[in-house]
Amino acid sequence: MNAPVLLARGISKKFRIFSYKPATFQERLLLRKSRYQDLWALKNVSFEVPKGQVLGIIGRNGSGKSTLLRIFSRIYRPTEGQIEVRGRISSLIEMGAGFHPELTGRENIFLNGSILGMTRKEIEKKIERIIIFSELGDFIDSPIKTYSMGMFLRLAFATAIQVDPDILIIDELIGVGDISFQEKSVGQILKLKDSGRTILLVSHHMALIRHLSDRVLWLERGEVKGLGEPGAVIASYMEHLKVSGVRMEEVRGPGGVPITRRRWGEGKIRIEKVSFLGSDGTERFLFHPGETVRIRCLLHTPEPVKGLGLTLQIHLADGNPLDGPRLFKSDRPFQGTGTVDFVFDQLPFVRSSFMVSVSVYDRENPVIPSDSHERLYEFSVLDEGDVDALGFLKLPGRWEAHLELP
Amino acid sequence: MWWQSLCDLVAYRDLLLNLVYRELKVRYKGSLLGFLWSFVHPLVMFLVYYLVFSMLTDRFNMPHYELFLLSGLFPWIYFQSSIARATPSIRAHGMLLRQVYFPRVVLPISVVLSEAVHFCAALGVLLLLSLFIMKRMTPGIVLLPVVFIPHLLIALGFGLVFATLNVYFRDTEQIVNLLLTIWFFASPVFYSIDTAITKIPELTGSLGEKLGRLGEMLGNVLSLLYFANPMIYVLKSYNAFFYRVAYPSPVDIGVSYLAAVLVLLFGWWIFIRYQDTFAEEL
Repeated sequence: MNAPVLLARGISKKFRIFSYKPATFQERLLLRKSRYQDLWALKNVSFEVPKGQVLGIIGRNGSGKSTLLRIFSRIYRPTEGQIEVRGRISSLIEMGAGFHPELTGRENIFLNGSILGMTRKEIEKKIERIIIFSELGDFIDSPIKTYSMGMFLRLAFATAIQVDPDILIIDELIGVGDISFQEKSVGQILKLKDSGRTILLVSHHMALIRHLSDRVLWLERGEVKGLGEPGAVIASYMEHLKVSGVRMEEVRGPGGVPITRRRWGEGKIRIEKVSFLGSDGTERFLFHPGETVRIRCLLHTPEPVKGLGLTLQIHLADGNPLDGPRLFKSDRPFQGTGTVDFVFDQLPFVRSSFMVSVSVYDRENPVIPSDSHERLYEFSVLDEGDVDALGFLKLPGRWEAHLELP
Repeated sequence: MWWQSLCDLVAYRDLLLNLVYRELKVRYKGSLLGFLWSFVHPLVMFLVYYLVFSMLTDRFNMPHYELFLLSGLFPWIYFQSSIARATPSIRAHGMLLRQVYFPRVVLPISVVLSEAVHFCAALGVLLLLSLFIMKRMTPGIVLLPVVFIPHLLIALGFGLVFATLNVYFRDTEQIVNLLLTIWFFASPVFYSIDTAITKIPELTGSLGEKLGRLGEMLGNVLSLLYFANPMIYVLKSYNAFFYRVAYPSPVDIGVSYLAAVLVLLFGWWIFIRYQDTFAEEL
């Protein structure tokens, strides 16, 4: 039997949210009473993760995902219940913890690595790999106050990923930070998964969760709403999010710009699933430049409609529109389940991550969408070693030259 | 709980070393005098006290008063700056505490150890001065580490208590600074303990005359409190090495160790009792 390496047995976590709290002796002496409300960030959460499995954790902001990760990282202690952890745990929530601006990149690797629990010997063995992975080159011996944000994050990620833990905790890695670095990070996580590491993964990136997870845990207001096979749990989560007009969440894009991601609509025709299919017909979220890619929208309507409209928009990683909206119209009556594909014969992107919005309309009511998924889907394009490319698009065009001989 | 906290500390010993290194490297970064600053502060304090007490008190009638003052002032400054800098060490790292688990105790320990590096350099200077002024050295100097260990542990013990308190009460830092000022005058740094031993009965006696039984009791409590100060016994040993140029008294060393064990156990106990809530509190 595969014994669980991570076990949560009925854990609850209570926070006191103080509206007033005596923080000095003076206030304490005046016998001022603190005012607070109890907030249960987690309520009776139980699950186990066997060795080598990936547990995806989904839920809206404030649902208790981060608290759960912090409890497993030993930062918080559960108010009730117990956790069991077998093996060394490392988390990517703590990227760059303890970095000091005055120290050089190399010195910071030692400092950060030892905060993450590595010994000096281990770090010495791995430092060359960390430096190569971080792509910092000669900058490694400059103080990190001279680094750009991207360089800083690359160094932090390179160090954290080399801790070589038995259990890895990852909090919203994709879509945050330096775009060109993302492909490599995803690749490294896949490698860790293949080498039998147990992973707790929190992400809003449903395709990534679906792709990596063996099981998915869905938290809602601190309680377990679903736990099981990724497809099923993600589907019921997406269904749950369909509360008309309610903002689902804000995530921070590069540079800290808030990006709205939400699902809303009046609900007659529903988008059941949006998937990305590669040239080999498999469902993926990572693609090669120039590949034939289908964005498939699975639609369902229990009542017949006279026709439908579908829009698709592709956004940059910072949430701004890049392409579209592309409109598809159909005047044919439709009922039940069907698919509409948007096909890229040759994917024009060279690198980076993109978000996708899909909305479906009933032809009779073209003003309010039936179901709108704003920026809920993401896919990434892997750099094919074309290191000279600075942009992320390859637009059609050619050279024509007329040069006179001397 | 005790055992677990010790094992954790051993597992993270390299973090401790790296933090000490960071403290040392970053502290005087960008300053003109750099490491020399760690001598400037004690030397200026020395000059001020020396001039004041030379003029006011005729140096307590002590030969080589300058050496006496130095041999007390350097260890005191180490003690004082260790505690003053250990007190905010947890609160100052609130962000880090919420990001990652590591044994929290490494933060105050790294402060006390990095101060110790400065102090070792100061001890070297002190030794040279003592040799230069007294023209001899005691073979007892090999016992210097034996005196330094309880000195460091006492500083750490108090540092742990105040660092914990400072998480819950922000005015701990202010109070600690005040306390250290009072503590300085209550320790035989610029006067010898013999002066205190003769003066204190006089003082308590006068309290008794003025206030009657209550004053007598108050006087007894104060003198008890005075002699309970572990720094008395530590400072006496340092005086022995550098000023009297003799072996320190085994009694003083014994009392230092006893105090070190008590203070450290208390500090450690308080600290590990509350450390789980640090991340939530900050």
